[in-house]
Amino acid sequence: MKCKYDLISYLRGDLASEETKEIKRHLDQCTFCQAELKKIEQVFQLLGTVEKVEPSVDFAARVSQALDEVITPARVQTLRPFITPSWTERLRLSLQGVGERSLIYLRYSPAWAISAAVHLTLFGILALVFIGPTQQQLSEHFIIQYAPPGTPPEKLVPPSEVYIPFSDQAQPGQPEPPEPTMIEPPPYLPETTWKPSTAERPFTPLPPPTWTKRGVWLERLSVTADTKFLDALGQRAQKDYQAQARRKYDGQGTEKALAQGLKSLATQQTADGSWDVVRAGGRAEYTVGLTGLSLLVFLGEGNTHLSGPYQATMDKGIKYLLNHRQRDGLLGPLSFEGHTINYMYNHGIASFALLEDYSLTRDESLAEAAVAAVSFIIHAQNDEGGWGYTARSGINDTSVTGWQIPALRIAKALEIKGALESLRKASQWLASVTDEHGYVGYRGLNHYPNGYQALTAVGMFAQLYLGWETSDQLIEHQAKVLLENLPQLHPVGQELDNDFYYWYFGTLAMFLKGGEAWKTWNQHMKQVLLNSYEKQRQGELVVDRWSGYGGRIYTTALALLTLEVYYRYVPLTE
Amino acid sequence: MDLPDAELMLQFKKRRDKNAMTELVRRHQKALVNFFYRLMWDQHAAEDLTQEVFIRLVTAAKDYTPRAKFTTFLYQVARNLWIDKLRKGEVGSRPISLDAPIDPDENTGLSELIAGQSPDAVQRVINHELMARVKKIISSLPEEQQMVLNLTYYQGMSYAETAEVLDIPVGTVKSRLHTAIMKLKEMV
Repeated sequence: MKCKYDLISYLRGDLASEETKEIKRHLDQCTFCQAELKKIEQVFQLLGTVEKVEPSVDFAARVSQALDEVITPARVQTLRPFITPSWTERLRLSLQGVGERSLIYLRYSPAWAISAAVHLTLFGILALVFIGPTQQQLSEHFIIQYAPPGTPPEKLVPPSEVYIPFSDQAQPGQPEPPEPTMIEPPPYLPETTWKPSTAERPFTPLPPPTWTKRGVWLERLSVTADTKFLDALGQRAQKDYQAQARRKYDGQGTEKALAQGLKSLATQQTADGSWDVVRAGGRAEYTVGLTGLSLLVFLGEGNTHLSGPYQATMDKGIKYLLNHRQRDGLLGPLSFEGHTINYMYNHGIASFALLEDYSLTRDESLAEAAVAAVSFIIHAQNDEGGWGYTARSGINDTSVTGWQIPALRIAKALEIKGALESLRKASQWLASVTDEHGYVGYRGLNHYPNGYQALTAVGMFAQLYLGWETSDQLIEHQAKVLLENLPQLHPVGQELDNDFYYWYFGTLAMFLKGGEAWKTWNQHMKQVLLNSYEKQRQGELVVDRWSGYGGRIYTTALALLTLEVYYRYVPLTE
Repeated sequence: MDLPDAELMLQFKKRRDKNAMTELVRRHQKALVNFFYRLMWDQHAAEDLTQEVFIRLVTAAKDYTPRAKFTTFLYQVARNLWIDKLRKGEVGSRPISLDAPIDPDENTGLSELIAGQSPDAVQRVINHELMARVKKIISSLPEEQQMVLNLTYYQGMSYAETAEVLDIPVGTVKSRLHTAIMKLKEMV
């Protein structure tokens, strides 16, 4: 028998409330329609697997150029902002005034650039005459402006000329830093998105007093806290600490699964130090990020590229990351097979691994890459405080943001310039997408295209990490949300409801919070992960909703990182 | 202050203000690129067409009156461009350029792929062949059904708006969507 109900419109929510109610009533009784509804849901679910593409980074610029041709064809051609070799060079050119090169620049520069150049010249002359800038004063203004991704190599500053002081004060007796380089706004961004006036954006930053009220922001990011934070990272490698922590936080029973997992993950490393993502069922463009994620697993056990049972694995992996770094600090490629990729995931996760390794070893050979990676994160941050798939895209995304914060937190402890301010902005952005019940949105308030659970976990973890009190009302709400959605391993056929990402961030958040909520969560988390380990051991493959991107490497690494929680961090109540 | 799309378009019409157009580009580029991407599965070609839509907007501005929603107008332009290209054979029969080779064992049903019992079948779920298959299935639908699916599902338009964009009755939108979903369901 066929019923005549419009189930498609019902699923779409396109029906009047009367009709919706009627169908609901009908569905309760009619198994045929229930099955039909399920099938249609499955179709929608399948349709949802098709990826969304991001326009190429230079797309808006290309359109802008094409528009110029049709809007005012007679106009003098405008060149994109150019990169000057250095401020002295620029000053020299400006002072030449009528020199031939300056004329070319002036002719092809947009009005604002000419105005800026004139002002800069005036400023330069005034400064030379009245102030006589020292190297240090200049560096305060023009500290490290990274070239944007995609800049042709000949335009890039060689990394050796890039200097970022670890603290604001130059140390006496240290060599003078090389002359800083000044670069105009990145040419790959259209002018309109580069300089948005805050009035045009529907974003209201939280007023500063909220911060002092909202817990212990300053305390948790104070220098004392930094020392504690770095000490806690170091603990992992200490003899017996892991066993102690497991006992203390009820992590017993996970040892075997972890040891086996580490071993198997290590054997999957390829000769070049990366992990073969494609063979594991993921996408090649995420190789750098997944290599970073795998390295974090070994770091979680206290291994570094200099020590530990998995020292060789770490060494190869870190070298792989360094070999795949761009000259502007970006870890991993900007595009893959001609398509711009969501490179901020790769970069955030790989930076996290690099920074952990660096903070544990303080190996000088990593310093430059680590600092450049952090600077790239800072450079890529949107004005609103979040990050998107690509640098300064103007799209803020809780998930990508959640992967930048851990690297920045270490950077802050290492006193890398700009990290604190960047964290503050990030925290503020996260607060702006958190509603009064604690639910965290994806790209805006109450925006949950793939559910709210994982995002709420990310938000809760990040805010706890950055300074909210564990007893904060919002954190309490969030813990409740997580407890209502305890980890659960879904049976065959519903694997796409599994979410290792949620379990990972949820575990971090609950562990940091501690208390009864953690105990309940921990019991479920342990059971789910140990079950999934057992299934894998019997040859069954456990997949989750994002496996299509990261494959087995992704699920395995996240599961292991989750099981390491007992000694990877320390609860904030202690 | 965020001006509504229609206001920006009027501003452009009156003053040929490029900033207004640039803002419209910023707001709609991604959705448009994805709109074309779902018809041809080629990002670069989709970007080229999106650029052309904005150029057509510039030329069409003089006749613009804010009668309907701006997006309706925008997608009318986009859809007309697509039809023109189809007629000229420039986008042809939409050869599917997939990121990955299609599973050699194409006769496996998608539901088996999803709920397959053997580890081998489950493994296939996790790589993006599933996505490739879905793309292929969408591409096998007649153009008019693909278009309705694209607008109603991927662009999230209401039946009424889709009907206006395509200049067909709401009932036809519903029946095309219904037919498309039923076909997809069979393939699942």
